[in-house]
Amino acid sequence: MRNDHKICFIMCANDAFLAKECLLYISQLEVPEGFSVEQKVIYGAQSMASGYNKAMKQSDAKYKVYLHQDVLLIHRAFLLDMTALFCANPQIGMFGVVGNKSLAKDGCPWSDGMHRRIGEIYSDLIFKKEYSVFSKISGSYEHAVVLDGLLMATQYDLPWREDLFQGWDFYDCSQSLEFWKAGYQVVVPSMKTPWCLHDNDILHMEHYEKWRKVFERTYGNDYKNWEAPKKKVIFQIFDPKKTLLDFPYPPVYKEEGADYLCFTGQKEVHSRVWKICKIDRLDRAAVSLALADYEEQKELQTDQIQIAPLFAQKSGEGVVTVPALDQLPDVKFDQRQIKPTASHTGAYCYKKNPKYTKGKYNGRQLLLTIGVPVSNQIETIDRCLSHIAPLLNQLDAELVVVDTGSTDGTVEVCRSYGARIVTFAWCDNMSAARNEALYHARGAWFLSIDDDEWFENVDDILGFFQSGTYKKCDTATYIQRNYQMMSGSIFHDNHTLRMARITPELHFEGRIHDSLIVPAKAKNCQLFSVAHHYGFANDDQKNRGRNISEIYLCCFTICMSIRKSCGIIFNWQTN
Amino acid sequence: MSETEQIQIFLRQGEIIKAEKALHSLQHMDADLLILDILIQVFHVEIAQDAANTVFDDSTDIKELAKHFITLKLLMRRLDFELPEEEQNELRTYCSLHHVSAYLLAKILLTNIFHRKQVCRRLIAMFPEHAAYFGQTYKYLEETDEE
Repeated sequence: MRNDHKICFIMCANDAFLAKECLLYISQLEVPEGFSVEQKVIYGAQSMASGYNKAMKQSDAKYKVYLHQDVLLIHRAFLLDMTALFCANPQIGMFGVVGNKSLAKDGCPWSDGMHRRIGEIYSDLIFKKEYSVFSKISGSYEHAVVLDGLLMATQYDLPWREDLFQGWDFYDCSQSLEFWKAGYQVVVPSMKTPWCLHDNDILHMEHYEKWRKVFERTYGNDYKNWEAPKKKVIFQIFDPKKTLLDFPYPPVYKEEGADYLCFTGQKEVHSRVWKICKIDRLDRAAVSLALADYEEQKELQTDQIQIAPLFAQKSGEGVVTVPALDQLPDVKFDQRQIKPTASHTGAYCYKKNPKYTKGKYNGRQLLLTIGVPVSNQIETIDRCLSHIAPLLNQLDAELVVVDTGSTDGTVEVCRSYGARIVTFAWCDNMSAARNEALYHARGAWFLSIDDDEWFENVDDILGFFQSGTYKKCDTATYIQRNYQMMSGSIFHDNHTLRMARITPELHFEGRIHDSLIVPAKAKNCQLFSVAHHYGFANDDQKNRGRNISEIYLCCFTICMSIRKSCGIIFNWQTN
Repeated sequence: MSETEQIQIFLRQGEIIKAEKALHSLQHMDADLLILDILIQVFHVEIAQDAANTVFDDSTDIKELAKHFITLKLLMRRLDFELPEEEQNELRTYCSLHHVSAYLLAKILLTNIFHRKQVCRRLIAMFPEHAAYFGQTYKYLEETDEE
C-alpha cells in the first residue's frame, strides 16, 4: 500500500562521510504536518538505476527524492514546497533543481553550451565556489525535457531503466523521458534562492560517451521532437467593489497545469489557490506584461467562480457569476451588516468569555445559563420559554435573551420569565448571536435553544444537573426533532450539541449551520430530552426569507445548480 | 612510477617544493591533486607566518589530505548554512584534534564559502585565539562582500 503522507530520500553512496553529511541536512528540513520521512542509502549499487530501483521498491512512500551523496539540501522548506507543488499539480511527475529546455543533437545536456539549462544551484568546485543561475524560472515552474540527476523528486513510481543504463551517466535523462512518455510532466520549480548545494569535484567521464550513445539511440526521436506543453494561466484583476470578501473566490474546478494569478493593488488580499500579484499601479499594461510568458490565458472576473475547465470551453462557459446578495430574491440583506467571521488565516473571530472566580460553581455564580436568541417570534416564544421554566425554577439558572430587533412584543414575553435582555444588531450570523448570549452568561454551564423550538419535557436535563452527572462531563447533547412540514408528518431527529461547560474559549462557529466548538477530548453526555423545531419546515411561509439559510434554498431552486450554490454558500459560511 | 606516486614520495620525504613543482608540471589534476595544490599554498603561508603547525604535520598521504580538506570544508559549510550550534561546534573540536591553522580555515573561507562575512564572524567567536587574524580577514570581506 502506498503511503500518501510519506517522503523517502534515496541515495546511492560510496562515501559514508559524504552520505552522513547529506543526511544531516535532510534531518534539518521542515516536515509537512502529518508526514513522515525515511532515508534509504544504497551502498555498493551496480549502477545508479539499479540502486534507485532497489530503494524505490523497498519504500511505500508516495514522494521520493533521489539525490547524490554530494548534494546538501539547504532550503529548509524544501519538503513543504515539494508537497505543495505536487499536490497542486498532479500532472507533474518529477521535478529537479537543474534541467534542460532542450538537448543538443547528440543528447548531451551541455555539449553546445549552457544556454539550454534552467534552474539554479550553489556549486563548489574545490578551487572556487559558484552560485549558478542558469536561467531564472518564470511562473511557479518551467518544463524541462530532462533533469540533472543531482536531485530528482517524484510523486509517482516509474522503474529506472537499469536494463539500458548500467553505469552512472544518462540514467537521469532516461528517467526524465520515461516520465514524459508515461504522460507526466517534468519541471524545474521557481526558487528564490538555490535549494541545493552540489559539491562537484572533477567529473568522471570515462564511460560518458558509451552511455550517451545508448541514450541517443533509445531516446533520440523523443528528445528531438519534444515540445514543452503550453504554459496556461487563469488570471483575474481583483475588484473589491465586486465582492464582500478580501480574497478571490477559489475555483470549484481547478484547471490542471494552469497557474492562477490574482492581480491586485491592495495589500491585504490572500488566497491559498491564487498566487497574489501585488501591483502598485494596477492597469492592463502592467498585467499584460506580467502575463507575457503565458501562451494561453483566460480571465475571470472577481465575481466569477470557475466550475469547469476553461481552456476547452467557449468563452463564458465554465464559470458562474455570483449574484450580489441584494440581487437574490426574497432575501432582504443589508450587506453592510455582514462581517467576516474568520481572519485571512482561517482563525475564527470571537471574543473570549469572561472568567469569574467568586461564585460557588467553579467560580461562576449560577449553575446554568439558558441562552435564547430572539427575533419577532411572538407566536412561539411563550411556548419555548414555558417549557424551560422547570429548569429556571428548579436549578440555579438564568435566562439570557439576545434580541436582534424584535418589535412584536417578544421581548416583553421574555421579561415575564425573568430574562436578562441583551440587545444585539443582527449580522446574518446565528453563531454571533449565540456567542453574545454566552459572553453574558453567569452560569457554569450553557444551554442554547432557539425561539422557535420547545422542549417536550426537560426531565433528563434536570436529572443531569440534579444528580451531579454534569460534574463528570464537559458537554451534553439533547435531541432536536426537525420538522420538514408544518403538519408534523415528516421529521428527523439528531442529537445536537447545545450544552457545554463554559470556558473562555467556548463559542459557536458558522453563519448558518452553527455549531458549538469544544475541545476534541471533551467528555460528552447524551441526554434524551426532545426539542421540537419547525424552523426548517419548508411549507411555512413565515420561514421564507427570514434568515440567511434561505439563500441556500433560493440559490438551489432559482439561481444555479447545486454545485454553483455550494461554492457560494461555502464562502459565506466559512468567511 | 606514475607522476602522482612521485609526488607522494616527495611529500613523504618532506620535499614540499619538489612535490609542488611536480604537481604543476601535470597537465590534468584530479580532485585529490587539486586539493593538494591548495594545501601547498596554505603550507607556504604557514611557514611564512611561523605557524605552530603546518598542514602536513598530521599526514602527508594525498588521500588522507584530501579527506582532511573535504571534512574541514563540510564542517565550515555548517556555519555557512546555519546548521544548529551543536553541529557547528564540531568544527572547533575537529580543528583542535588535528591542529588546524587559522590560515587553512581562512583559505577555505575565502574560496569555498558562500556567506563569508557571516562565517567569519562565527570563526572569530569560535576561535578567540585567532580573533585578530580573522578580524583582518573580516575587514577585507567588509570591503569586498555584500552581506
